[in-house]
Amino acid sequence: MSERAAAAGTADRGEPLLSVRNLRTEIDTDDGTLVAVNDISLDLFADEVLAVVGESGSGKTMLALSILGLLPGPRARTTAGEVRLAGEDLLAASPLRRRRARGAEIAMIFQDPLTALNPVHRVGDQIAEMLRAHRPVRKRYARLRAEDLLERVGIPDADRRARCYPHELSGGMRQRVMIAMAVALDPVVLIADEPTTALDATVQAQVLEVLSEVRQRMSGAMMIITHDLGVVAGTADSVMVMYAGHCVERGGVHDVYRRPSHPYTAGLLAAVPRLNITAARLTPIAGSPPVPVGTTPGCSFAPRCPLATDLCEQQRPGLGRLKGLPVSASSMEAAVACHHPITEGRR
Amino acid sequence: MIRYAARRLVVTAPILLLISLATFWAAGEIASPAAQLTVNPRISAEARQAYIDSLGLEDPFGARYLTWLGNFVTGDLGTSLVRNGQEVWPLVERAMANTLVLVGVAVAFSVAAGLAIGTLSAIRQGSVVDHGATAVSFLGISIPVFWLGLMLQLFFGLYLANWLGVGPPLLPTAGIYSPGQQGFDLVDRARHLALPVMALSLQLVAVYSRYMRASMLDVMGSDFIRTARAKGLGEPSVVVRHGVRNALIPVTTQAAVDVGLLVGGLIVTERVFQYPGMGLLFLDSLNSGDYPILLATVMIVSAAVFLMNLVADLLYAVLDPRIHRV
Repeated sequence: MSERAAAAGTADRGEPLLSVRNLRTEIDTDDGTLVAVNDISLDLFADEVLAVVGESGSGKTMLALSILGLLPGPRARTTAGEVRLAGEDLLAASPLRRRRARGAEIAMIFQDPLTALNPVHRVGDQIAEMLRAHRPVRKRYARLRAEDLLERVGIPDADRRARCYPHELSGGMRQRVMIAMAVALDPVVLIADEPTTALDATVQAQVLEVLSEVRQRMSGAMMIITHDLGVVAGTADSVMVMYAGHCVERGGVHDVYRRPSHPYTAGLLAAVPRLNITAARLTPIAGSPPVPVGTTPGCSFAPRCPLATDLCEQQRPGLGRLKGLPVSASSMEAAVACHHPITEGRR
Repeated sequence: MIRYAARRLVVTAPILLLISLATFWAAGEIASPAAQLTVNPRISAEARQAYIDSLGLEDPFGARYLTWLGNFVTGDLGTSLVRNGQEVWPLVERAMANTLVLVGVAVAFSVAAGLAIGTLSAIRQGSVVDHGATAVSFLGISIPVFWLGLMLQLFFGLYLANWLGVGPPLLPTAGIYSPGQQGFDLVDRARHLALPVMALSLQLVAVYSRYMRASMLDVMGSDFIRTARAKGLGEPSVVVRHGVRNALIPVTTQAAVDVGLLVGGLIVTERVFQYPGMGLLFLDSLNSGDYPILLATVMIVSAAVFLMNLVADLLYAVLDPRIHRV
């Protein structure tokens, strides 16, 4: 996949399918306003897979929900920025236009397929509903299409499975159903939010395989949200690391992996078990992620950062291109938000 | 599902037996038909004893109970002790039909109104509609049925007509037909039904709308609602196909439990509006010590409550596919 992206990277890729600019999403909490997504920009080109990585609460899911316009309730809202889908600003579009785009042009796969599927409807009908919501097709046709889609995501006996309720399927099957539903209308952008987190380790690999298969068959791009760096390495072309609502580092997946520039990225990588390195124990990042309520002047990671100085406490580093970094093969320009980026190749 | 229903019915039988035993005992204690004869100076002690013997009132309790039970389950409900020996079954049958109409209309109206109000409250949480519905619900839950009935009678039967300066009352306040009415007349019947249904429904609407609101709020926060929105479904589809459909599951169970509570309100409503149903028949037979009728009404109403619970359980299994394969 990365070869394909690399080939595409050198060519003129034209307009990005999805372009997010300076997106800011706030959530009202009892302790004040939390900035869940803080000044995030990203571009997603055709055939590209972008991984958004970060700990729980870093704003990954909120970013996805902001893009879809599915923020929960009146307490969360997008206050600034643009979300352009093939050039069209969705945030400025009418609610009807946004609704029509959901599912048909931007589809999403959620973390826990058991709760994300409606327990009282048959899975085939839930897939068919996706088709019927956007296309004037007959119920019978939609049902047959749903069975085709189930087959496409590797569910054997699709006609029988289509009549099952979600609780009658295994976790892996359920997530395949979610995937079938999401790709039903061949969306331009597919967002997968922690698609394997709720699954058994043995099933995770299968689901990732299905995901990459369907992605190759569709013409669009994919954004995969995960805290699992193993998922990132195998699937993504480029990576965006989020911390406390900010993008702290981005770049091509191999560059970020081989030479993490931000101490947080380096810390994340050091906390991943690796088979080829014999370490006595994994190195956790000390402390826990902050709740981004209110404005702190400095870098959000400074309290946990081994390299932090007074400057880090006082001034927030902007996202900037780092000198000496190789020109990335990925569409995403490599950048890091750090006063003291790691310049030596650590790994 | 049929096996499940059969099992439920089998479990119900001993409970009904226990109720019949308790009712039979209590009826004999509080409403002995011979009691009135004791204080009547024109009846001799011999005549009284003959009456008691004819009814077998001094037989051992167990024998009396078994005799009654044997007759009851074979469909012989006996004859009334005070209504010139009328057979119990036709009386009960007529009362049952009237009550079924009243309860049917009231429950249908309450379910429809309660679910609609509850759903609207939930999807417009914190709005004027929601606060208004909440206030009216608490009022509805707090107002006792007998008082509400009297107020409805005063308002629709007297004040409203006076204020508007029109002659006859707007709605009749008692009975099921106007005096002199022969045979069935839908309009007249409906007009007589209006006030009892209102009295009976207010509490039910209040309670159902509360359940529905809570259940909807719970469901609308679910992940699958987010999935439905992510599919690009319109809000009506999201609310009805995904929201209401799931919210109904707990509401159905709760509503079934409330069927028993309905009986109390029914007795009071029928009394206030002189509505000739099971409640009125029960009260009359209780006052006159007519215990063949008393026992028949209590047993039939108890059985009806159990039946409704069974129906609700089956409905629950129909609504929730996760149930019936367990």
